[in-house]
Amino acid sequence: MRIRAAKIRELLLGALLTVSLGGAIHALGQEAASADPGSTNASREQSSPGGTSPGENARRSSDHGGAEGQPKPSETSAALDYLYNRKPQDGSAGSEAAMVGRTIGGKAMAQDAIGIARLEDPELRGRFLRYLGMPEVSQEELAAYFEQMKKVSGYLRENKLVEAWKELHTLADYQIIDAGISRELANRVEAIWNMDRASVSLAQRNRDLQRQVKTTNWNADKLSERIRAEELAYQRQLNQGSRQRGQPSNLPSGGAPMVPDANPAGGGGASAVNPAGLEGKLQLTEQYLRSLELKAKIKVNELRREQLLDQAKKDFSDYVGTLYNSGRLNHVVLAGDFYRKVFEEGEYPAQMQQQVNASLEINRDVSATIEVFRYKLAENELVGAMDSLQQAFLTSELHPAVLGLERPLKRRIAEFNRQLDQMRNLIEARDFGNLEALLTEIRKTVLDFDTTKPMAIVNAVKLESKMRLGKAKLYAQQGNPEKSMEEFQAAAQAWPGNPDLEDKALTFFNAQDMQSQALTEFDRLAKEQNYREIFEKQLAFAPALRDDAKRQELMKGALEAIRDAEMAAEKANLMMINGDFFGAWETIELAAAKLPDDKKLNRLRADLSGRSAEFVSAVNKARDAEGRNELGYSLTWYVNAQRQYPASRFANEGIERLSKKLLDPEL
Amino acid sequence: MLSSNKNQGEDEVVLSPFSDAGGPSSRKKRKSKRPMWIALAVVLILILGIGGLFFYRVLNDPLRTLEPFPVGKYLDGYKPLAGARFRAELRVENDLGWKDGVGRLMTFSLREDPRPVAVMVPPQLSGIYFTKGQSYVAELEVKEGGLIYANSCRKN
Repeated sequence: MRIRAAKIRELLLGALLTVSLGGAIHALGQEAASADPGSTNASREQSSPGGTSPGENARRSSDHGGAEGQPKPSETSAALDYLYNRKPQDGSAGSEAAMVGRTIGGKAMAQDAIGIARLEDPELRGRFLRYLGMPEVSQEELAAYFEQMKKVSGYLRENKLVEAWKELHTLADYQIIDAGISRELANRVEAIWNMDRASVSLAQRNRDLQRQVKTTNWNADKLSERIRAEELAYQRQLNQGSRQRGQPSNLPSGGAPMVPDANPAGGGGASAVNPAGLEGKLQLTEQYLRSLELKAKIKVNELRREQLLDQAKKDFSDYVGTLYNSGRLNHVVLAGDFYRKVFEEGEYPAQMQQQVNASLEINRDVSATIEVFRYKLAENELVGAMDSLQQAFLTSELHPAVLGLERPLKRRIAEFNRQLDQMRNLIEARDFGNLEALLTEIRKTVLDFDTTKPMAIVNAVKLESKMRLGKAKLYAQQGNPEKSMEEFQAAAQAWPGNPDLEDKALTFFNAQDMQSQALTEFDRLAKEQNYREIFEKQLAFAPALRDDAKRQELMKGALEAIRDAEMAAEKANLMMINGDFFGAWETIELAAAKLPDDKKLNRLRADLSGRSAEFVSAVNKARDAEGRNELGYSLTWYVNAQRQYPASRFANEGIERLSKKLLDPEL
Repeated sequence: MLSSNKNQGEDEVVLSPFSDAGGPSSRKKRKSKRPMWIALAVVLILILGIGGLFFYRVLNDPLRTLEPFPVGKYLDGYKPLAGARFRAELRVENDLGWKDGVGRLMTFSLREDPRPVAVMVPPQLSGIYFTKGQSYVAELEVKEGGLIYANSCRKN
């Protein structure tokens, strides 16, 4: 049973962790999708070059930001509910999972509160922030660069490929704008040319081979003629000989091309082999095979040339795709022009065609986005401006409009970004006091920033913290320190900067300390039977003893004893006023029997003993004698005490008690 | 009234209607003196009888030789008195109870000392009916535990 219980516990814990981590991953995924448009850059590189454009990726990433998903309900929800509703012990896996969950929850809450799609990928974010801090590229430099680019395009249109290629090196000198991409493009073009040289070399070899084929063919023809002549001569000789012998001759068949039979009528007869003719046939065969071999080589070379060309085209297309994916849109267009000229093709491949068109389109989009950015910034709509700038940057950070954006404009975005970071940190740290001030400041300067959501979150968390504090106070008042402490912790976790938290916590801890001290003091006083002190401090002790039945019983006994003593003192005072000192003494004496160490009673008793000395002496002597079992003597003193104070309870009870004993010794 | 009559008598003498009441005394003076002697003798006899009876009783009183019970000493400490017998003239104060075979427990006060003492009247004396205020003469003995026993008791 124990093993089974442990296993069930393990399974439940595993399920909890799975769901917690699943939820966390889901949340992170959402967070990344909503706030990390740059992450699509990586996927863009992995996707096919023509599959998606940077602009589409950016739009898709922003679309993802608004998407929300809910984790599917688990079958173990009941078990998880059980686990979630019970606080895991400190240091346990559950506690760790809860802490991780809280951290992730804090981040998700911050992201939700800010509500602005921002770059979350550290690399992209770093690049964007670096861009915001960089000085703008001067307009003159940009104009010169793009003038140079137009010049390259012009050369290409005029089929001046080499000049255009040279100008690429000039473009590469604009290091900030170009980053050496033009030189790399020039290298690619040069690589194609180098490939072309290899192709020319192959063609030269093919020409040589062709010549060799011709020579071989000629040699074969000559050999064939000579063999034919020799065959004819030999046949002739054979014919003459057979006629002489009257026997037919058989022609040899060696596998070499045969000379047509000069005497078909004489076929079927065996002919003699001509050794010289046989040698000639072998040479002819060799020439024939040589010719075939050379032709095969020519074919192979032709195939290699075609392969080289195809590979060069493919490599160049891939390079154009890389340029497109990295946002070098102007270079995509330029490289497309080079492709057509270098490979002497009228059209681009279909994929390159798409990339070139998309680049032209994106260039237009980026220009428009930057215009929108400028407008929104001028209207103090920094949220929209930042969104536009991020989109333009992610789409084509090397676009002249992006590069040429003035630094003061970027600085405003950087400052707003810093405020958003601060806001996020404040929410994650749950410093809602400073967050309110920051929100107020942002609201003044940023017209399109909606503070409704962060303020709602702030107010909700504050309310939760206050309510938990209230609960903690209630629990503390009910004498439930464990629950109270849990609520305090929850209130502190919800809003650590809650100004009431410190006061309430101090009050709570002081109360706890006072309660502890009160309990210690109560125990000491109860042990000493100092009920008077307990009575005087009953208000301090009462809260501490709220749930302690044993101490409450002690307290009740102490209070009843003091109440009786007080009543006795009051009664004695009244008797004293009436001159009944014996009765007063007796009343105090009876009360003092229950509280022998009570100072107030003892003081009264001492006072009354002096005033009732004779009676007190009689009673005391009677008691002493009774204590010594001198019953007759004791009885006489009780009788004497009764004579002095007939209503004496001591005397009457003593007389009755001793009389019974004396009359019935067996009792 | 007499003085006023006396003052008035100095002016004129007023005679009482009983002024001649002295007649019989003058007649007694004329009687014999024997009865007087008889009376004297009777008185004397009575006196002698009573005296003799008194002396007889005194001489025959068993408590005659006992010391009176010292209440003060007893209250100071009964032990010196333990085992001794005393005579005491007791006045009934209270009846504390009775048990057959044990006796009656009473409180008495003594003539010499008004402070009451508890006395056990043994069963042989239980025939006496004590009522508050009656006086008795008793022989008292202080026994163990300081309890006073009345060995004998008679009405005073």
